Amino acid sequence: MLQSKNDRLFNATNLFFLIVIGLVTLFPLYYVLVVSFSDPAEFIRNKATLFPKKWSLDSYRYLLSTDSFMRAMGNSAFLATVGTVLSLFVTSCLSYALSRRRLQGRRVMMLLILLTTLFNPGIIPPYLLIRDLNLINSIWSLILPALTSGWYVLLMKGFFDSIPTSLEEAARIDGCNDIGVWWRIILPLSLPSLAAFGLFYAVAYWNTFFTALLYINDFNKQPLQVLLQNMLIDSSTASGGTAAVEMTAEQQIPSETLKMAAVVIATVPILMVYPFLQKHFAKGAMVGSVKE
Amino acid sequence: MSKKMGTKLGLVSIMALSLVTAACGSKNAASGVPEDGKPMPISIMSMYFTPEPPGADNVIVQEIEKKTNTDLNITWVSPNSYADKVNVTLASGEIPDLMLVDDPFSAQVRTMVQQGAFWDLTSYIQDYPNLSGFPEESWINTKQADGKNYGIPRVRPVEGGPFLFLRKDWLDNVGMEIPETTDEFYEVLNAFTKNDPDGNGKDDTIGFTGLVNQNNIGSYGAIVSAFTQNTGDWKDVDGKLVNVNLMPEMREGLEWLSKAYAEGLISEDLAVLKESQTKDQLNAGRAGAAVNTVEAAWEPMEANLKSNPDADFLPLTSMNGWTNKDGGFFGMFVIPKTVSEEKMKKLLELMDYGASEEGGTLASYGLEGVHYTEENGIKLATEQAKTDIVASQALGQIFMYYDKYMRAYRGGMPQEILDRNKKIIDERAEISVPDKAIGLYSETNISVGPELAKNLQDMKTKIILGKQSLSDWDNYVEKLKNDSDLQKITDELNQAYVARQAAQ
Repeated sequence: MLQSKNDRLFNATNLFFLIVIGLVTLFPLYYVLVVSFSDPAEFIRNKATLFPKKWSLDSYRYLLSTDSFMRAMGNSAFLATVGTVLSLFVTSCLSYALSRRRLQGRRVMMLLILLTTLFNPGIIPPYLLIRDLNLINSIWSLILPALTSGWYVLLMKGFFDSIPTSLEEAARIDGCNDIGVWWRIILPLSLPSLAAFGLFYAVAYWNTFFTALLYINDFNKQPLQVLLQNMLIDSSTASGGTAAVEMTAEQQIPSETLKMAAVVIATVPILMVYPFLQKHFAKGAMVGSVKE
Repeated sequence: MSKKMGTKLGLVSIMALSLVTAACGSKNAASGVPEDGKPMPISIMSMYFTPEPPGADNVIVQEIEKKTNTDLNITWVSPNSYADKVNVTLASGEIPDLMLVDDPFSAQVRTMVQQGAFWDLTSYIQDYPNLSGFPEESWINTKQADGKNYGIPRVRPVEGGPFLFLRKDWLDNVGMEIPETTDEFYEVLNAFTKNDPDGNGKDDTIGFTGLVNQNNIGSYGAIVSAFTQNTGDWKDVDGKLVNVNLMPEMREGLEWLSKAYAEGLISEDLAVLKESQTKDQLNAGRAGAAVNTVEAAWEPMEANLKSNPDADFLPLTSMNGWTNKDGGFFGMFVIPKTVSEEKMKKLLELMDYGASEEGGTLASYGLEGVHYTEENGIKLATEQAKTDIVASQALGQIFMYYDKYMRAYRGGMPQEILDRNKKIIDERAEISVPDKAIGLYSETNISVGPELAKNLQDMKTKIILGKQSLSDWDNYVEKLKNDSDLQKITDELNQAYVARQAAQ
């Protein structure tokens, strides 16, 4: 197709700006990567520029040899896998049931679910609930309350709505019961949706932070993000409070290269999930965009 | 849900809930004391600064349990999230037998004190020789509005707090004397920046490295306070508290700083600098002065000694004849009223043991021969201490033997530096100025104070960076003088000041 001069100018400017913005966005990530591969001593002396002055795997070697880091990785991995599987199970069951018109009390249930997306109880009531369930210090306190989200149920229900009821009826005539329909017909059809929501859940579980702060006291059960926060934040910025207190001298601050290596290790696993699930995205999160 | 939103919502529910929990708190008052001879179960919540907290099977915890016949169950919380944890713990009503509250004057601690949720320890303390041996300031400064002590201060030395230190070897290289006034200090920083004090022929040094915070002037506080001759934001002028920001001396301090900044004597990126970065600069031998505690000056010195045997970081005694005196505490340990009186006494006994020389040494340094070796009164930590997580940054946060020279000593320090530090601490003790406003309550300050402090600091940073002129500062101060909020804060603080003086 022929382009006018103005069109070409527009496209060129567009391209230029997008590339600049892209680079600006990428640079911090790139910098983290470079610092993490720098030699710690060399980094303090000269800082890193575009390339490390001296490459080193010391930070990674150190991190991967520490018990606490590997334990936290393990905890987060458990959260992300077990949590995601359970969440998908609960969410898909719930949304499928809600998408079938013959379910009694559908409206009331929908309203109750909608309410949870509008109102937030704050942090104390959930804390009291978790405490009374004896889940304090248990990794299940991070999974059970997060099993499903009202918003995802509504989205997934939209997806199931687009599956025609006639399909279900046909399966029934061939001898399937409710569970059979769900397991043999509906789930295989909704794989793209499961992949998309699975990714959402996995990212959320991998990033579990605030609830872990509140519910988990045992250091050995903390997920990765809590450990990262301890490593990354200078305690001086968090102290605040009265002028009488001071804590600068009390924290043993890990070196910059170590921090960055920790960031990289913590980011890579969840980053690797993306390419495998991304192709399902467009279809999975259609949010019922097609109306019958 | 954003974290901020959550905290806000949480605070509201805390207010409501603390009423409930305080009311039903005395239900199980008699529980928790075991039969004779059995170890007393004790739950504690505190923070840790080591990479990993000590576990339940920690050898030192077990040693302390044996010595005090207790069964300790310690919840370790990271300092970065301590405030949130305190919130939910106080609200849940299941308060540990001993709980560290990092800010004894926060709104919910105040409310709970008023509701009688904690033991009033004022009349018990004198029975415990080590606890009552804490410095007077530590006890006075942690008194609540009614002039009573509801907690055991997590004791900190009052002398030797964060103040200026500089490189003595650079001073010798450029042929200058130890500065005693801000003018002399300016000249020293000038020489440190421009006269190649490290003699490497390169222009790669700056005079002073430090950062500013969002709500206060951070490392540069030591310099402006040398002008105002005061510690903290409020100065006692003829028995009345006055905000130092309104004083002409503050203007002089800012003028000094903006000039120093324009000449490149202080950190160019002070507005975005991080604590760890200033430490890196000192360790790499690029900066000649900074602010930290007396013993912390040893840290960059040790790093520099590796490459330069002459390196010497000297903590200054005073500036313009002024130096700061600290509050003597960093939070306090409260005991909930749900604990019986008998158990409360046992808890005080445990803390008293921790405050003894034997208990404090055990908590911070471990066992002699295993975790540390002693030579000429200096304790050197062994590798085993790291493995077993024995450090003043962990158990030493709960059990601490008070020594007024606490801020003189750091592991690995040679004897002459220790002696010099002790002398500096003694010299400072004669002139140091305490912060008069610690723990004074002002309702208005809690609601608008942070905003006010942030605006003030924005203005100060701009003036130091040269983005606003000093006449802009004059206008700002003029406006501030007529600010109704600040006037209200001043009145309320003065009322609390008078009331507390009367209660003592």
